[in-house]
Amino acid sequence: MAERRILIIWLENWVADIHCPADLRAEAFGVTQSRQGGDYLADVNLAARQCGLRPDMRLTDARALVPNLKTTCFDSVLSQRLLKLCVQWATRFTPWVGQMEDHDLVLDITGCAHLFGGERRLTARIMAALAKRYINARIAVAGTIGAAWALAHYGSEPITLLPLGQEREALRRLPPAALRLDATTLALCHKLGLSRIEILAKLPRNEIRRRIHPDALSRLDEAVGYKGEVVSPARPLPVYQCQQSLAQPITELETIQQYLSPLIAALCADLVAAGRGAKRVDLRLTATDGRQLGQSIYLSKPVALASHITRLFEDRLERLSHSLVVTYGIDDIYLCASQTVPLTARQSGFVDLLLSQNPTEIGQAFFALCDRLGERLGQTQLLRSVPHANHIPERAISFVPSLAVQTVPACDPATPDERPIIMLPRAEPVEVIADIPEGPPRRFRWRRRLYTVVRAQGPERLSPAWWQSIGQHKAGTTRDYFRVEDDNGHRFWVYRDALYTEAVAPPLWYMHGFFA
Amino acid sequence: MSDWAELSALSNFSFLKGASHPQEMVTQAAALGYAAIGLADVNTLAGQVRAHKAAAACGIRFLPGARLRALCGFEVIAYPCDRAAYAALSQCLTQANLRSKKGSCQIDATDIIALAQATRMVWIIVPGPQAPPPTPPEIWRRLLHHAGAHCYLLLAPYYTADDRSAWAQLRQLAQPLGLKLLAGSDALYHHPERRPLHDAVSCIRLKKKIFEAGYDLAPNAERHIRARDELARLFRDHPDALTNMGAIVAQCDFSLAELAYQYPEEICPAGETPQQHLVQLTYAGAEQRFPDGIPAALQKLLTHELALIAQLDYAPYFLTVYDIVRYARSRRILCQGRGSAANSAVCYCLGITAVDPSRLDLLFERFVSAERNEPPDIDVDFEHERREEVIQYIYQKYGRARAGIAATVITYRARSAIGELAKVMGLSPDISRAMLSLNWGGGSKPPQAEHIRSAGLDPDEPLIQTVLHLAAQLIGFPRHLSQHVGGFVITRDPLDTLVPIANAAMAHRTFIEWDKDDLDAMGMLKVDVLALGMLSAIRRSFDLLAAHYGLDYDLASIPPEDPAVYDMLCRAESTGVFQVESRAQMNMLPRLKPRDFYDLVIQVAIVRPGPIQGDMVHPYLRRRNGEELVAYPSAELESVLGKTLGVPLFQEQAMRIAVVAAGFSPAEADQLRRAMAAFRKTGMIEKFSKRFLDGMAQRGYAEDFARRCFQQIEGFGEYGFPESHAASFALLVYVSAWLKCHYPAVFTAALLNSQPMGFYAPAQLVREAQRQNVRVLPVCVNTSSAEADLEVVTENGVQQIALRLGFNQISGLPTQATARLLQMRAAHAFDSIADCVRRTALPLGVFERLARADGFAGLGLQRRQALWILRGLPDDPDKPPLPLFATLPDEPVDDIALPPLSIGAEVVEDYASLRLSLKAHPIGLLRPNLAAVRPLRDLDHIADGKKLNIAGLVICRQRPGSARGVVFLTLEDEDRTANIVVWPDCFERYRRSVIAGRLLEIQGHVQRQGAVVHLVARHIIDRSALLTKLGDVSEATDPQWQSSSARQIGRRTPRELPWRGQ
Repeated sequence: MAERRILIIWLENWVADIHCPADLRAEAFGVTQSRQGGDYLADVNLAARQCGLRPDMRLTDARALVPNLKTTCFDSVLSQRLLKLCVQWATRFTPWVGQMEDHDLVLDITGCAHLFGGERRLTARIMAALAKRYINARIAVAGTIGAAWALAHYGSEPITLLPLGQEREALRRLPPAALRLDATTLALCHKLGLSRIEILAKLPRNEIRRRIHPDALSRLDEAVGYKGEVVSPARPLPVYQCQQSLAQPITELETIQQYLSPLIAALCADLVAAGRGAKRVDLRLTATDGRQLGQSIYLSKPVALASHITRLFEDRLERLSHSLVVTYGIDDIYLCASQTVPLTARQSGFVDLLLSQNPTEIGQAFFALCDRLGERLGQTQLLRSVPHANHIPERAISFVPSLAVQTVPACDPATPDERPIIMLPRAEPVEVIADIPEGPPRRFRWRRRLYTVVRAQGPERLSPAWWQSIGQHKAGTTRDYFRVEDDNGHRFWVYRDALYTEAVAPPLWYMHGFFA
Repeated sequence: MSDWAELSALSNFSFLKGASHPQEMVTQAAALGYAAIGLADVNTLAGQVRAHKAAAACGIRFLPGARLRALCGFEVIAYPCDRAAYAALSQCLTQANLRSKKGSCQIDATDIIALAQATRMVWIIVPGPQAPPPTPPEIWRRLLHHAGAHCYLLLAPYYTADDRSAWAQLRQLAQPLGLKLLAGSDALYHHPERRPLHDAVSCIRLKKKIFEAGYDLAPNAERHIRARDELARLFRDHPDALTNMGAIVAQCDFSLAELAYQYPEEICPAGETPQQHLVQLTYAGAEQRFPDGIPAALQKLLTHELALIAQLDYAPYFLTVYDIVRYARSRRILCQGRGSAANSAVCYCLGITAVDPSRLDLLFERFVSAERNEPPDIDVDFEHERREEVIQYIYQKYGRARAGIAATVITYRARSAIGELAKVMGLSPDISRAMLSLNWGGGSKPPQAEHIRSAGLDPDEPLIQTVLHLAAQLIGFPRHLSQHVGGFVITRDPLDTLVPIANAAMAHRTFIEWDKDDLDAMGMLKVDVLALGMLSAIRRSFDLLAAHYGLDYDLASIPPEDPAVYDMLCRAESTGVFQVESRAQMNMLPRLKPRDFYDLVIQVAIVRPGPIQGDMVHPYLRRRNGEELVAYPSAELESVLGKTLGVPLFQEQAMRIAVVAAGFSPAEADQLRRAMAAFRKTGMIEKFSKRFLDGMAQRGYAEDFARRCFQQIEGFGEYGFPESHAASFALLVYVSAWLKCHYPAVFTAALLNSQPMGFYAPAQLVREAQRQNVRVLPVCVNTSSAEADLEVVTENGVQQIALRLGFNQISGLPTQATARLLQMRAAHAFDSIADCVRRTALPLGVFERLARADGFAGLGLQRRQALWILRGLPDDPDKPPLPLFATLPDEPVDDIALPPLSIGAEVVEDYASLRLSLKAHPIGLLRPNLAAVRPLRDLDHIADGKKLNIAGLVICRQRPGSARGVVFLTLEDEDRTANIVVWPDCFERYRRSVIAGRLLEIQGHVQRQGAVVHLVARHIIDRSALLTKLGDVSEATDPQWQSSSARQIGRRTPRELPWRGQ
């Protein structure tokens, strides 16, 4: 068997590298993380290291040293995502790519290096590719994972290529920390004066196991190759897809639908088995001449329900029908759930739903309706009203595209008192006769008609949201809202803009809505 | 209608609900023409005394009461009509407090009904802004059943929907029940302008940002105290609700002034009056102090003081303090009284203080004045480790019902206010951090525009302005109540009939809801039972003296006025000595050259913000050294300033100047001092300042002198130091200096065993002892005790007492393990590690710690060897070895050649586990690496202004607030320490080295002033990397060299500013 060759890439400044904005690379920069008792530095860039900052420092201490330290918060999702990308990228060099703690990538390049011009060129290429993305790395190639790890972390050069069979010699001068031992064992080695691996290795083997740690011995053996250690490659991301190649090209819409339905069912079965729901489903139809027709549907709630997806594709296929005419027929159907998220709720049929009266399920039905309406009218055309906890009536509601709303609308339990059924988009001026200072209107003229008030309730006093007018010249005014009823039984919502005490000119009145 | 009263208001003692101080509410009510106000805070009586005082000042009536909010949401305001009802209210709140955890108060509706059943109280039901209930709730009926004639229903304008119809509905509910109506504002703040602050505190309470709080915020600004005509207009349809105001005020004729304080009775045997008992005890004590007859001067003093005590009826107070001190003495707990009345002849005879009054000349009237009708003040310091015993004694003697600890009202300071408001207003963490990291020097003042600008922020930025504007209002708001450090209130009647008692955070600790100012205002006795670390050290010294030298000393019997002690202090050799060991004090000692006890009193008081801020230090030193003529601004001031050469140094003197030279009455002078202490009342201070300066100008004093005197009073306000305290402290200075001078081994052992305390880490204390020729022996498994101890060693045929470090010096060694070790060692010494492990059966981790501290050196084993052997032993001797080890074929190899430790590594290891090393000083070992550097002792003989290059371990860094950004460093090398001055520009250049360096090389020039030598830094090089080299240590296991100085920064002097935002 050919000698194994292991390549380790240590992304030594990973967290700082991926968080650091381009314009801050030359300045001291740190990534912070909140822990019990305050903010700490999760990582710092090279410039910050040169100023004496280290990971795990308290942020306050760091700021005492470098008052103008720029920081950002640690984003673990980003870090994991990018690290995964890194692993995927590295699979171009060998299929065996694994990930170790502490931002190490381990590549088993046995028999691969010559494809890239030898180890020297391979490592240089990796280094250059990472440097282009401003990622600092240290790389070592050796016959064992242990030795490569040790040389990547504790070697003197950024790139170390260890010739065959030199592991024992190369490790001699390195500290025991290069053996990937835990902190307690390392502290023990330090206390015993075992400052280099060669001193440790000279001790009787049984004494190492007995007095230091059984791991110390196995790590040592692994590093020099007495004991095997394998690379466990990272698993690829699961893909939810299905495909059907057809013996005969088809051109009929109905036939496509016939073939599509089982594909959707299979896809949904996969999704259900994985406990996930699709947010986006892509359909690709390949024609015999190689042309491809694609359609994607987007879902406002994660879905793994075949009937729902089928129905949505029915509409889409109709749109494709005229394109189908010009092709020689479709001979390949490919379906892929390109965006999935974990699915928590189970779905059920419509009849069950009505029987169950379950609000979450009725909500599901509501979203299904939204999806269908959106498909027909266009997703941007479909708006939903969203309540906001704001005392100012016109700010208490807004309209947003339906896709952007993720929750069933619920009324805030703390909503203020009765609000009108219809609210004017813009309050309209009214001429009013009322008692001073804060009595309700007795008579008013609105849109050139005169109304006589027979009943009135109020005032409901709403002061401006002072925090929203900070820095503006004009703060809003306090409004007194009245619910008034005229002699015909019409009920209006009118308000006086400003109090008599705060206004310079006599305050104006406005019509804002109707109750009945 | 003339008797308008606002009876539904609350203050900011309803924490984060009210948005105005009690004083503001009361003053506003008075300004609007109300004849009376009741402030009923939610489930507490905490703000009542403040409101009571404010109302007295405004000349309106104040109705004490509480707003009871039951768990079910029912809310009712209770105003007691008589003393008994007040007591019941207070007791009800106490019970509710005690069954809840700290900071909450769980009241049930049944508690309220029970209260209504038993007492005469006015009840005002608060229905709140929500819509009225369709039928009267059951609880209304029950309350009416018990207190019908005194029950009211509150109608208040909320402007949330339709107040008028709500009132009409409430009237409909009330009428059939016979429930009367009351009009009120239900005010949460005194003026509509406070709405933003109210919204902000609501957000703080709800932990929300203001932009997200939505309906949790009030829709309008209507919850303020309304003008009377406005109320009259609103309630024109409900005239009875208005007239009922007066009716309630007429029914409640109870005032807080009726709460007369009663001294406890058991302090004096039956059949004797307290005064008789005090006289008898005093003379018995005097005879003990002076077995050869009482000196005539003292006799005269005693007669005089006792007569004054009799006149003011303070005998019970002295007897109470005496009783506590007597108990402490019976348990051999060292204690020492201080404070206004403590340095009297009576206290000396009673043994409350050990300061002989004849060594001072303190006028009793100065502290116990007939004019100010308030109790005298005696604080008693106890050994810090044994104070709890004294506290338990007080609880046990008087019972928890009658003895309680005063509260401390924790208020918003500038930092906390800005921090909270920045969060509420949604400032980014970076900006709020920048604002908080500002050093603008004030806990009480928000930062000014230039401070904001210096942090790189725009002070005109509207959001920042809003935060600052709100912060200015929020500063001083009470945030929560906490227990006072040791202020005990003891009463004759159950304490909870006076004021509610609440749980403290500490288990089994309770405190009353009033703070010391409230107690003062109510004329209630308070004894401060405080803890002092130095007393523990002195107690240990006395014990060691008795055990090893057969000497029996106490505080009073230490030989007075020993010249050798003063010689030592004049040389600034005061490491470890109480109070005068700080850098600033050490600088002052050679300049002040104390020669007698009173000089020590001055020494203690002079290095304080008061004299420093008032620029009194230099004039005093010049006069003392004969460089300036001793002159008095006037003859009348000569009597005040005679003892301090015409320069006011003590708080009492500053107050006397206000009386003698500025024409204040003694009561006014005291008000002035309080105004200063209670900071932030800037308006008050300006008023006093003008009076003071005008008064002195009228009497012909120079404006400059007057201004400096006033500045000094201001300084005292922040951190006052009266002569009476200084005198008590000076005695401890003298005693500790005497011990250090004559028995350095004893003193060092006592200090080591009382750690953590004082300014210096064990390393410096041990070094100082070695400098005083004390032999210090290392920790040894066979000879060390649990604590540092003394041991007789024979060297060159001479017997000598040496200091042996104890097991307590080893970090992380559990005390139970130590006890077990000592117990097993008692029979005979251990002869090997295996023997030690077998006999003690302690976990191996304990021995690993011991090995790391080189504790097995006595058995001939170096630390590495010992650790190696330990690692070979089975974890539990009784258990069979684990299968893994059982399979090991060969015998363990104990004698293996481990790499030897270099001396440098030994020192590093010593520091890591013992925080000191007896083997060598790191700097000494590093000398070869520091070629261009002179030893610190060279500072002694190099001329002023010459250049010098030195290096040392940083043992202390300070940036005192009074020094305008100057940083003081203390460096240590193998034979001494040196003080370095770093000017701000130099600090900015070498910021990192100054803050983080552990070993610094400093180039600068020598500055000498008399015996005081500094090095003024010009260039600073961080040589800390050398320390890593020293022990061949990796970063992970690096010992904290600067653990001493890091602690130092944590333990800052009162005026020292933090390095970073708190």
